[in-house]
Amino acid sequence: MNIHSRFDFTNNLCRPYVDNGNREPLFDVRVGESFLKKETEKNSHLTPDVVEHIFLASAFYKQIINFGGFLLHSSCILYKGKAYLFSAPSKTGKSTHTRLWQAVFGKENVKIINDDMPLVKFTDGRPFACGTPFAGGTDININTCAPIGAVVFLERAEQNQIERIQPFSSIPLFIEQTKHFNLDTSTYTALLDMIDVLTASIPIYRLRCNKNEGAAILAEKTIVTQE
Amino acid sequence: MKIKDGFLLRQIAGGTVVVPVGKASVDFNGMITLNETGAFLWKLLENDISEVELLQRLTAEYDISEDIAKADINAFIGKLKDAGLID
Repeated sequence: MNIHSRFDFTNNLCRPYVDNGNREPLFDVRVGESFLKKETEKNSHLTPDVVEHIFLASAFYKQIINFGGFLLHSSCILYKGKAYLFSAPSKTGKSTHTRLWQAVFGKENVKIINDDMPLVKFTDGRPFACGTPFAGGTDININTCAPIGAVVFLERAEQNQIERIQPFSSIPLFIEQTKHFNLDTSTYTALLDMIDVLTASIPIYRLRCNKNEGAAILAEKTIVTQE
Repeated sequence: MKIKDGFLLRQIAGGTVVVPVGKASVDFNGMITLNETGAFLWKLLENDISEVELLQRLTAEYDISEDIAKADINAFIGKLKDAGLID
């Protein structure tokens, strides 16, 4: 795809993802001049490059659904060849949790694929998680894809506890964390189709956790060794 | 009686959900899960239908008494009205 940006901020973030081949872009993502001006005035605490980045991300998110992928609001790690996505509403501590994994199992063994908005896509019917230039506040991301090992929905708690959840029970959680807004019927149908396939092909967990290393140890023991 | 436009009913992961699409998502930002009866009633309510006809269709489809069917329909419609989903 073509991402049209006026600013270094987005262009620098996109640089590792530049495709130098001759492939035709699937679609264009851009933010109109007058729209950008209006939104920058409305969000005076943000600079225009950040405002543009936010709306490019949202346009990208919406369009990619029609090309076989969607973004799950989560911090996504690469560990032992598989991707694990930790999803939750903002401020729950997604990044905090994946940093615990790095602290316990080592930064060389736990890479952050995308700290906020990894892309979920399907190859031969198997789900993969991929890095994108859009990664929320921390902007941590790498240009790589890995087969998904599990999706874990986080909740804050005093005591660490993890349980597997049934596919249908996870649907509201997926819908809440796929940042849908104003999707048309065919796009929303495509999104739900992908969530349907994902929930049927990988285990889904609910992790109630605190901010101590025990949370990562419990999660790793449960979601990785059960393979 | 009819459910407002702009909602997508969908089978997913062995159950049924309803989500708002397009402009409806501005007023109703959430989702609904339906059981089998709920999905049956929702589909009927996508087109204009009277309570009497709903009752006939429900008792024809399921082996339940008229009293129970009536109570179920009233409860369902009550919830839809509370959520502002019905005209």
